Amino acid sequence: MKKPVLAFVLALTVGGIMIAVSGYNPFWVYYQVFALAFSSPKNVASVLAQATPLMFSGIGYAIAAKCGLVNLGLEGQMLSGAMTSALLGVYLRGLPLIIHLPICILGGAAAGGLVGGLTAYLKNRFGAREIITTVMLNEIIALLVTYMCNDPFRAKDSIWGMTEEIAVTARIGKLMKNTQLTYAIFLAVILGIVLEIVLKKSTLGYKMQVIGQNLRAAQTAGIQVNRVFLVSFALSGAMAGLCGAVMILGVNYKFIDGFSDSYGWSGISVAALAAYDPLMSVASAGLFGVLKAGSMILNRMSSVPKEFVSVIQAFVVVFVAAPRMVDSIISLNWLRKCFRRSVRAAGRGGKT
Amino acid sequence: MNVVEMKNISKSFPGTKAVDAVDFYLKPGEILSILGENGAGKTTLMKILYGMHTMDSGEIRYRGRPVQIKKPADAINLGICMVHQHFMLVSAFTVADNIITGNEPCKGIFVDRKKEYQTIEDLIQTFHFNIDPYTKLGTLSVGEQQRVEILKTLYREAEVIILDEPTAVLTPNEAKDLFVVLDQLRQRGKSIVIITHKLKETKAIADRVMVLRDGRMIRDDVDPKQATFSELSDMMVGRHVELGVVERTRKKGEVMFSVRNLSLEEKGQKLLQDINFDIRSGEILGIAGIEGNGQSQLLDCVTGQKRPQSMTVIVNGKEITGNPNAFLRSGLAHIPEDRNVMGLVPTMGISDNLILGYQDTPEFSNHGLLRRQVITEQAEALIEEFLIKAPDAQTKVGALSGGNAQKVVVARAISKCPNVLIVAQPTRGVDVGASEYIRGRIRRLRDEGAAILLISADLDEVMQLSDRISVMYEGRLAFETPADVLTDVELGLLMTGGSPEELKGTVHEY
Repeated sequence: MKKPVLAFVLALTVGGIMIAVSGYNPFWVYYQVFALAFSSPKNVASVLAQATPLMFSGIGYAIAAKCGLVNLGLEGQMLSGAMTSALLGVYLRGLPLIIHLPICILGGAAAGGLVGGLTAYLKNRFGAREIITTVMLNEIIALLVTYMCNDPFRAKDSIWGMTEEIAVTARIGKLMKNTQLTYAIFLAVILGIVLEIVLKKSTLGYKMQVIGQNLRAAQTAGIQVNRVFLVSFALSGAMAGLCGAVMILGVNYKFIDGFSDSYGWSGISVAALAAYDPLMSVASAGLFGVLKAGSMILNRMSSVPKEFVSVIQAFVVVFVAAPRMVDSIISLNWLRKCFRRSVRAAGRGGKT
Repeated sequence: MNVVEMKNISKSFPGTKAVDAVDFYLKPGEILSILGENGAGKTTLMKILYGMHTMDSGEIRYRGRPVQIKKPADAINLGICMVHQHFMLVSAFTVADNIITGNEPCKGIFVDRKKEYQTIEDLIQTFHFNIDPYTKLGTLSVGEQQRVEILKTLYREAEVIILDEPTAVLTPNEAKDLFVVLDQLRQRGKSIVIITHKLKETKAIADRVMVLRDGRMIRDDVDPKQATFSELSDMMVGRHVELGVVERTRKKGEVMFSVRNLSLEEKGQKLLQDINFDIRSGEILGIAGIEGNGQSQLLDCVTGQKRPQSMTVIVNGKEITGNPNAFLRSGLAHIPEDRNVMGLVPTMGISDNLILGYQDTPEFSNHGLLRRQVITEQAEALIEEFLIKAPDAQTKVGALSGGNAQKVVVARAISKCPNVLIVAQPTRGVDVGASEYIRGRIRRLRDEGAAILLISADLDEVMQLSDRISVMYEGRLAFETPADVLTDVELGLLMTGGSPEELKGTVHEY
């Protein structure tokens, strides 16, 4: 748990340098971001609303990572979930909310799960590396949904690529008026808890952890690795699909081309900061929610660029993925080396 | 004057003190055996001398003058060379090219072939090495490859040669050849250090023995001609251990485990050819053989990891097919050959490792949920029963010593009271005390009626444990004999492809 915290602090430092370069005081900016985020109930709601999609995608990345899988396809799985739930929301009519909404949510999860499952199938059947196939599938799906919302399913009177609005019976209720915060956040927290239990208490979770930590031992012990890969990847994809679904059903009410603020990709940073633990991913998404919402509010009030949050997000992954780099930065060995080198250089200079 | 002196050497690794204030000296023209269990610090001490590790504190003197050895190149320049357990050779090169690699005699930008062959032929002549410098390395036996490694050190004009576990990969016959070579070197004034945990070879070749235990030096002046095996082992372990207990089976039952027509072909290579054997209840069948003659493949097949072209496996009258899980469920337990890679998940706790492979049995799970309480209780009971040294059941297996980690693997397999146990390298990298304990448990399981297949590269172990011995050579079971009929030298001959007819000749010689 110590490593991710260090990684976060280092990422804040890099973000701070960027803020300083653009001419602001990083300490003031960070203080403002956190202070603004909690300054009013509405702002807190905005933090949680920003965190909600990240919770889904973070949990999604974590559940695959526990099993040693790298799911870089969250973005594509998210988009397929979003499109599916949007179409179900638009074209299924005349159902009561109690049936219509669950169908749309499950449809989104199923679509993401199918795309994830496809990746696992390609890995198991043909030995295709998931790192390659997921990235490629992202591209295919992104273009496919762009086509869908621009041509066959475009809203009648729209010049932009977007679908019709979904039926009222397919909408997730708001938790607070005039905010983007919906009941979906409860779904995220509950799923975080459920998957945490699956991971820690079930035989499936046990097998996933064995595979993630020593694949050869899992094979030797007769664990059916391919099956676990399939389940794990489908779960991961389903979480990403849900991420897209709740954005459509709770916030946008239609599929708009390019609506995603990298909700899928962000899951990687969220999970990395949570040490790939589902329940911790919920908390970690909350932290990123603070940064995102806080910086957006600050950006409205002053001209501080809000992009530094993306820098922090990216560097969390870099620092988590490179533990030895973090170690060497922390141990200050490089400083000592520099010092010794300069002393030696000075000594040589003195002699001549 | 001593060739090498090391004073007050200490070296710590995170969490352990590998070498603790050890003094060391080496006289010219002597063979010193550094004896100690795994993790006693023998290899670390010698890697410090060879420059592969840097010491935390201490002083090294070479021929009386203090030296700084920071990297292997420093040591080689002084004349200190090391032959590692795993050879550093290129199999596509000739013997001569392997020897010069790193120190090529040059003529401009070209290698001076004439000079190369001349020097090497001279070396082979002087030391009676009996190797053709023009053959490709890949065609040589392991023993010959080791001689190439030693030649390499001589080519670099080594005065001190350190050999790390030199006989670990050799047959008894090859070991004898090695000792002849070492004797030649001693006569020419070279100083030799052998790192080993084997008592037999220490007594056979060493002039002096140094014993290390837990990073500290226990004795450095033991005369191997005077000391007995049991004295040496007690010094090594720190308490009395009964060595080499031999108890053959008393009650053999019905055939419990049969393998028929096992043939495996991969990439056009016949790795296993028509292997057949039966093991009765209450019997241990040992497979003797040099590593790489198909033992690993045999293991993979009879545990279900690999699907060979043809094989019939019968456990207790029932034929088994399918994946490793099916084999496990039919009462066939498995102690894999490499515990850290195949047997354990080092980052998980002891209790979790003890259910690996058995996680879906009703004993440990209920409706897909693990029965944590049962699992922990089982772990605590097994830790106590198998004398596993660990603070608690949640201790990560990676933090255990080799012996204790292996006991976890053994406990997992034996506690399920299997009908058949497949054991591979049960005591590799395991200290003397734990080794004897593990062998005792395997015997006990046999006496309780299990059929046991033992595969080990350690011929002494095969001879000690087995009731029957099969010799494996180039993917075949070449010869079978009851225990206590053949000597280790005779078995060694069969392991290198000798025929039983040749054996008759050698039997008279001894």
